[in-house]
Amino acid sequence: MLEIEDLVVSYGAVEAVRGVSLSVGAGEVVGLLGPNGAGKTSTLRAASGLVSYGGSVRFEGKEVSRLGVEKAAKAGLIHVPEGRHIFPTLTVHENLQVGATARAGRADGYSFEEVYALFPALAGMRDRGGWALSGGEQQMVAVGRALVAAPRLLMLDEPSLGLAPIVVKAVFRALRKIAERTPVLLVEQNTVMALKLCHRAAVLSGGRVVLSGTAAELSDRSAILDSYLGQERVHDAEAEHLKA
Amino acid sequence: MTAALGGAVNTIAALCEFTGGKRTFISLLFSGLSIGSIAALAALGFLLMQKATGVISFAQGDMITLGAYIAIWWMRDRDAPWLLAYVLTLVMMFGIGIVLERVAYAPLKGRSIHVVVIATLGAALVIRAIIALWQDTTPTSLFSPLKGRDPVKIGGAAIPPVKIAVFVVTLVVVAVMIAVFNRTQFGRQVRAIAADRETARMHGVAATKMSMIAFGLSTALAGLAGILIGPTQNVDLTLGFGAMLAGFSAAILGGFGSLGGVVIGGFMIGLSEQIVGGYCLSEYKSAFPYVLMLIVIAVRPQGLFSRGAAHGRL
Amino acid sequence: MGEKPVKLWRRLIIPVALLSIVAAACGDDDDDAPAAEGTTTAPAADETTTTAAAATTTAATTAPSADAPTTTAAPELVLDEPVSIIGLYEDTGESPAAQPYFAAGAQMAIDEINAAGGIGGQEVSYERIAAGLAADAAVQSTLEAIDAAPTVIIGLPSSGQVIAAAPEIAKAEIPAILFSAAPQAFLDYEGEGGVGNEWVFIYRPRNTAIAAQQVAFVNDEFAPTKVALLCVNNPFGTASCDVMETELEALGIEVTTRETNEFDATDMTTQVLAIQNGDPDLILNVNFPNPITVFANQLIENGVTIPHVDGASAGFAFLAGNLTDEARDLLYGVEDCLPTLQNEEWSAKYEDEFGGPPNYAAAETYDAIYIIKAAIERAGSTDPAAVRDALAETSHEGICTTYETDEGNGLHHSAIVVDYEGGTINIIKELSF
Repeated sequence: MLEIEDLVVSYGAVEAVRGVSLSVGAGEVVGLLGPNGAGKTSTLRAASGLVSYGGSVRFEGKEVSRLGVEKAAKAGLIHVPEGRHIFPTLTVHENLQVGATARAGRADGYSFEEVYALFPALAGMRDRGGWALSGGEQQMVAVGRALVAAPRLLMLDEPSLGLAPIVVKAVFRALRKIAERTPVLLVEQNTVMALKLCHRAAVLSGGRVVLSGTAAELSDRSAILDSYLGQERVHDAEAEHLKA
Repeated sequence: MTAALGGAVNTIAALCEFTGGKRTFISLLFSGLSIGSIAALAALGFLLMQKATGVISFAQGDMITLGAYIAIWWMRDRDAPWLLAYVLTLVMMFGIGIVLERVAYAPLKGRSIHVVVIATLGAALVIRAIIALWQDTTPTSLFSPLKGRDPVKIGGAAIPPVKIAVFVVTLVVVAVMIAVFNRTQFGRQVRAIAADRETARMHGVAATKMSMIAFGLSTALAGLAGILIGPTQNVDLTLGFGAMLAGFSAAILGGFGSLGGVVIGGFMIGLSEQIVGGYCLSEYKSAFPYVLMLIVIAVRPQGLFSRGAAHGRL
Repeated sequence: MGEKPVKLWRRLIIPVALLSIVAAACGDDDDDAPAAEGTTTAPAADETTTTAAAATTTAATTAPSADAPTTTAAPELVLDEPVSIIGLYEDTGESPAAQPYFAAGAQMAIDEINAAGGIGGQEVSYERIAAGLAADAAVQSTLEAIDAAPTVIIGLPSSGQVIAAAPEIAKAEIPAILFSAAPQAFLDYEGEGGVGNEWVFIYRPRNTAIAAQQVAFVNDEFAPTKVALLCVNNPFGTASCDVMETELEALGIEVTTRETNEFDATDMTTQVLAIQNGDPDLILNVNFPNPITVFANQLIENGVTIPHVDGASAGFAFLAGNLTDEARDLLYGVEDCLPTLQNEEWSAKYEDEFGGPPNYAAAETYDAIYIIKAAIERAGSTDPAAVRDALAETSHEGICTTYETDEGNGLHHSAIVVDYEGGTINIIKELSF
């Protein structure tokens, strides 16, 4: 489905991604984990054709840089950007309608009604302006807008960022349902949530893949994972236990 | 405070002279509506292009002039009947807009918006030079089936049918544009591009196609403005310049926001010039729209009809 | 962000293409027939917006027919020094407002003179410098001309140019015969900011003199008791209307209203209604072609059917073809010179040479070259002071009129009143002052 090989992304003299290889197969849910600045978002932006890159990114056998952003989207490679990027001047429903632009006649995608069924909170606010939505509602619209395009691969960038824990749970509940129908490449900092959803994951640090494996393997090696992620140990209780 | 306000009102009233009764008022009203209509059409052109591409094209004024000259050429040199000439002019202007997009905008993508705006100024000069070489610079005239018809009497005022037609055509065009923007996929795509170009492209909105169509449509709108204003004036190289300034001011008044906003801005331009200027300080009336615009920029930089901060680009 | 980087060559295509188009447009002036008229693009160029070549006129010639201009100088004059003339004006295509008439009229006279043996046995070397309308551009071109030390400088069609350049000419002490009749450019100007000097002569009739003559004409022709004034809101309009108002008051004629408009006005409702409320017998208008057209048509729409006497721009308004028949038949214009009506023989010769009919500027610039020739011949030398003094003694029968130097160094003292009844230009009165 998506084959990334020796991907290099640089901004001027700064190399954000330094030789990442990664693939997502049909029916797979793959996580891309890592701390801030590890190169996750750059990898995703290269994968959807937004930035120029070295190495190769092939979507269903076609080089993404040749396709360009718009054609890659129309081919079913849909990228939900970090920060949601709802169209603020369009209503909820209009946001979904614009999302359908990339559907390009594919029959197997979500209908508007299916999206509203998946996110019942949105059903009552079809005519609300994008500028008047909460963070969680925006995330729902962003995901819904991607789904109506009948994605062949859904790429999600930090869907939990800035959301309250209860909203994060709701979003991931929806993603679990989505993942049953659609392959997903998920970029997340919330490793616990991500590993529950993904089959496989790769950990990025300093623009390189430093660790990869199945979700189960990575969960078992959470100490190493945490050290790469450079974050406070999530499992505070466990830490207390070790000290004792 | 009240006394100061009263003093100000008295001072303003002293500068105004309300003479001529209903007849004068109706005459000024229709002049204002007709000038406002042209400003509104020009403003719609600015808005459409700005929404789709982020660019403000100062070639719009010369496009208005070009529209009038193309219509003249079809009728005078090609003997086309007037309606056919109008339609062909609009079609040609649409094509010329696409050429402008390819020549003055597409190659400059990714450059600073200022560079692109300067390029549109360059395009304006080129268009003007081309018209001068093609049709020479002698003032000429554009036929309209309504020209020279007896004026319509409204409340004692004599209103030429051309002015009424300008107003009616503008209302129809505005209604169609509002419908297109709000009810069609093209309209939603343009608004999506205006709000967030990159995200729109990530959802398959073909930015290049949109910008070509937007250039085409706004150039056709300029052509329509040229066809409407042409029969009321001598047509020469400066025909569209004033209309462009008025349209730009209207777009500022409307905050480059909603279609309705810039159209109301257009009518405010026309009415402030003709009605306020007609009664008060009439020797300065041509400055009124711009004074109004400056006040709006100072007091409400986002424009009169824009929700909160501007969401679009620029 | 997000856009693919654009290669440098693609970025350069457009500026280069635009430049080459502009260059082509500017360079391609020679094979263009002198059919283009000056326009109202530049508000400063009021005098250059005067009238048009009347290609379609059929009226009878009423002016004295001037054959090839005659000179009164001694034919045996032999000059030792070369004679050179520099013309300061643009030709078609050099700017949007550029007209071909100055260059064409001068060239025609120079060619004739050289074909007949030059001046004092010397071939006249003639060079044209494209002087822009902006004051600083005009000064630049004038200094360039001064550097070449010509015998006489000719040209400068707009008032801004003349006002800026006249002091430089005085400093250089080179005689000049200039086109624009800005009041400040005359030696006898009494207001602030006069630039008139003994080296500068003006070959167009004075704006203010024409304004006074217009009042005298309407008084004779229509004997009005009440007159409305409309003046374009610039120095030319204001000065002319000031003169008219004074003259009208002197004749005991009431000025009902004095309205103004911008040179680019597109709607004259306010002015029409204000004038109508004053119920005048006649309107005197000092304006630009487009406001004249709009105003004249709006007068008819509002049922105001009184004579409407304008200046030189009326001809443009008429030729543009936008006046309704009623508006056209009530319109009068005042022109310096209409060669196609006043001198058909010369006009035919001009048209043979340049492919289009001449206008006033062509005729007057042609005349000015012969005025220079006569002055050099009378001076008997190319000494600047001697030529200057000879120019001050000018009496020359030209295409439309006889030029005589007055106390203000003005040379041109005539104009004609025309109407456009029935769609032709008809001379109805000759004015002289």
